[in-house]
Amino acid sequence: MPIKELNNKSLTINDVSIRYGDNEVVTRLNMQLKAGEIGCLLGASGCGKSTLLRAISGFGDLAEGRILLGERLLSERGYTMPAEQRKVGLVFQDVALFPHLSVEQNIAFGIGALRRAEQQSRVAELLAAVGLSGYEKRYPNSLSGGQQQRIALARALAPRPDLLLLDEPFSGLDTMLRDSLLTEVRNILLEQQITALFVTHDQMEAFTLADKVALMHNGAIEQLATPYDMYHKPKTRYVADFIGKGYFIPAEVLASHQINTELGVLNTGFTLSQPEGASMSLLLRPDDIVHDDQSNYQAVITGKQFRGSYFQYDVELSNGRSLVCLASSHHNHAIGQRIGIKMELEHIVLFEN
Amino acid sequence: MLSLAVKQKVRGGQSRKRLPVNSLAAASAITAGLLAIPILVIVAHVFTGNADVWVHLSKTVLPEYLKNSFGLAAGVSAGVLVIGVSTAWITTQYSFPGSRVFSVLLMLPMAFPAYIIAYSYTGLLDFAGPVQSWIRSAFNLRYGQYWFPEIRSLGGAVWMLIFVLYPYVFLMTRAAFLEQSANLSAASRSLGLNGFKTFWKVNLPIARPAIVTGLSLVLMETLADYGTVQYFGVPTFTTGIFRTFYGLGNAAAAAQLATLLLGFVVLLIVLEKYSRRKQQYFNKSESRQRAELTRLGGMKALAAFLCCAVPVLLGFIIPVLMLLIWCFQNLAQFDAAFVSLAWNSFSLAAIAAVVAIVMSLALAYSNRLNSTLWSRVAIQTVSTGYALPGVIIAIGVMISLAWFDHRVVSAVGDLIGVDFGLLFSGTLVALIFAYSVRFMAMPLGACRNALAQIKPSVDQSARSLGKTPLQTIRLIHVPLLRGSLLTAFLMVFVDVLKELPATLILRPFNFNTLAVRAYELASDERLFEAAPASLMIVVVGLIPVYLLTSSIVRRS
Repeated sequence: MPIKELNNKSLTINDVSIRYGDNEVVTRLNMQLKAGEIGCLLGASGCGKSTLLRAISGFGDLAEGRILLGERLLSERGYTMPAEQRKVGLVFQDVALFPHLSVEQNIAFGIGALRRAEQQSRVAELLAAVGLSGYEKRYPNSLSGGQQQRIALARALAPRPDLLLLDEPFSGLDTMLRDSLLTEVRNILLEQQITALFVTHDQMEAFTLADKVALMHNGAIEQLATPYDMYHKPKTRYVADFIGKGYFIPAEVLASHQINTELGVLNTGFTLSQPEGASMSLLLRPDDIVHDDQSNYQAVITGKQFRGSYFQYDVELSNGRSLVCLASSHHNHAIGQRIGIKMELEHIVLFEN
Repeated sequence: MLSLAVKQKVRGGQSRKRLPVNSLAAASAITAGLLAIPILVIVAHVFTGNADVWVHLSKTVLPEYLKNSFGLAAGVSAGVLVIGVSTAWITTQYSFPGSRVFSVLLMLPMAFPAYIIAYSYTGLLDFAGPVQSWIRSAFNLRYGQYWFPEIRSLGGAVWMLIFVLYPYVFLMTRAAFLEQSANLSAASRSLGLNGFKTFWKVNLPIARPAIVTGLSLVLMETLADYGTVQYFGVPTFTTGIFRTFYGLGNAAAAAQLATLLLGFVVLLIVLEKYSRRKQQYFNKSESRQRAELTRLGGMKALAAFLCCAVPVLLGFIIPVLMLLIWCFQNLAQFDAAFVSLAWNSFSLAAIAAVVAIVMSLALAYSNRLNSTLWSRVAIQTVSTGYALPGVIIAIGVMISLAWFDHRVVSAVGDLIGVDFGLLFSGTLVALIFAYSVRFMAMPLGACRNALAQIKPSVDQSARSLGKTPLQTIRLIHVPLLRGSLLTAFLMVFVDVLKELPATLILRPFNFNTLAVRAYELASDERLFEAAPASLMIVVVGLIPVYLLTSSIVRRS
């Protein structure tokens, strides 16, 4: 694809604030998506993610800042380009297919300007892409939930939008269907080389689908990162809490590269800016603590769950702290038994108290 | 229809562009306000009423009005409950020859306005009619030598109203029985109750809110009836109001009588709303297991068949045959005058239906766009018109338009030196105004339901696919609303065609409709000649029956 065309498809959100009356829902938010990238706005309900999506799609006004698609100005304070001029596609949680039109007519709805033959070939191409060839003459009410969502995707892709927005597109579907559809949709989006931004409250969805995840909280982005970094290198306590399971244990700074914890001394591998003796919190994920009979650190098992390939033990340290520890499925211990545990950290994440 | 354009512009956030949304809201507020005026005029008479008039009324006519109106209501209630509930139960639980067809046939009497079935039965049963003539010739009797019930009586009126109104109870109750899970009956049986006890202790109580809803609709129609009781010479509130207004020319006394009737109607509205709410609560059943129909044979099947056949026979087949025979005996009546009469009626009904739908669209769109407390109050107000008797609405319209003509129009006329005469009160404007007040609930409900089906995300999809707001209305809203609007149009059209008292009071001098002509001819004892107009009304009246039953058939 020529570079110029690619540039038209990058999304820039610049210092955007959105208000409903006196209530500021989004505050000075910045974000950028490169052409062809799949981004995700992740957050709990009420964090402002849907409001931001509405503003990008042209159904909400900005109080401050600007939104650009390539070099085209979509929105700024006092100006909102009408939705129909934006070349921004939309896929909704409730699907919103037009009930009085056939599948074919739904998909062709946004490409009425093309010649009849071109419309037909585009419809056929998209139906093939979403795996529903032969459904041209069917009506939405005769399709299953997953099929409807695929048609909605095809309809949004038909006019080759510069940007595709998806608003919780999978939350109405059951888990099995969702997992298979997620991978499928990601492949379709990559194939179509389309810049996409979707909203979800489900981190597994975000991790599966997105190249880049923006975790939103109180109308601002807490962290913008790849799914891997989001999990392993959370920048704030909120992110660490929100993403995955995690526990904090106290840590004391011993030297510029060293901390002391209830489970031993650790070398950080990076330079700490905190002075010696400062007290901090260390993030532990369940897979950061492993069972080791040789270890000096002992804990009592208070609960256990067999997960097939591994055991997850709830353990309690002598000082009363509860932790979770993983062990291979051969290490079958009884509740109440005392076992040795140790830390095995690849990423050391510390927060000031 | 402006809503989307408006919505878009408002979101543009510039104050100059906010105007359209306000003007739509203003238009709907004015619509609702106008439609409320006739009612408010009547209600105002509660407070401004003259105590002397009350004393006079209560000493003379009031006791009789009360006695007859209550007698009518009580008798009709008993009749429609027995027929409506039993036929609903039989058609939902049992299978017997013809059982499927009866769910449609039992609705047919709805096509009859009560006053027209009254004409049919009077022709059939009065002294000169075929039944009594046959008795006299068969047994060689003369007048006074045998007893025969007088059709023109309170009892006769009760029967006429039962015949045409039981379908309301049948319809509501049938739906309620169909929604009941078979597991409820099964549970009751397993706890030792037999089928009969299960019906009384389980099925009937659960269906009660629906039955009460149907009954309250029947009572509204009963209290609104003018044609039947007038023809049978039974003095009730509606005939009394009419007589006081027309015969005695006492608008204030008529309005005061109307307030009393209005009080009863308000009670019915409350009852209906309350039972509808309860119904929602009762019907929150999880998974519905539909019962297998019990197959009946022998005498039981015959009994069930007769239970369903008799109401259809009495409420539809016999009176229609009577009208048909009259028509065939005198085909010359279908002349040019009849055609122009029908044309008058149809064009008036069509105009009224279009006006009602346009106003409904304005109200519904404005509420969808921006639902405020006021827009909801407006919708509630306008939606109660169906409960108000046509006589009351007509008098309210008459009083308010007469005031407007005398005070405002003539003042303007004096200023510019033109004599407008009675610009509004003596013209079709008054009629259409009254019809709008009375029949807005149905089209308004239809518009709101249809619009509620179109989720905002559907609008937004169309917009994001490059369509302007007006294109969205043309490509999405118009096709999706078309069916509902057509149905609403037909319903209002037929209601207007059947409406008698409001048309009688408000029609322009020398302007006749089918209903008025049938009424006039019947009142002059010319039942034969009334038949063509009556039959025409019944035939058109079959349209809503068809619409209702086809939606029932589709559901089951």
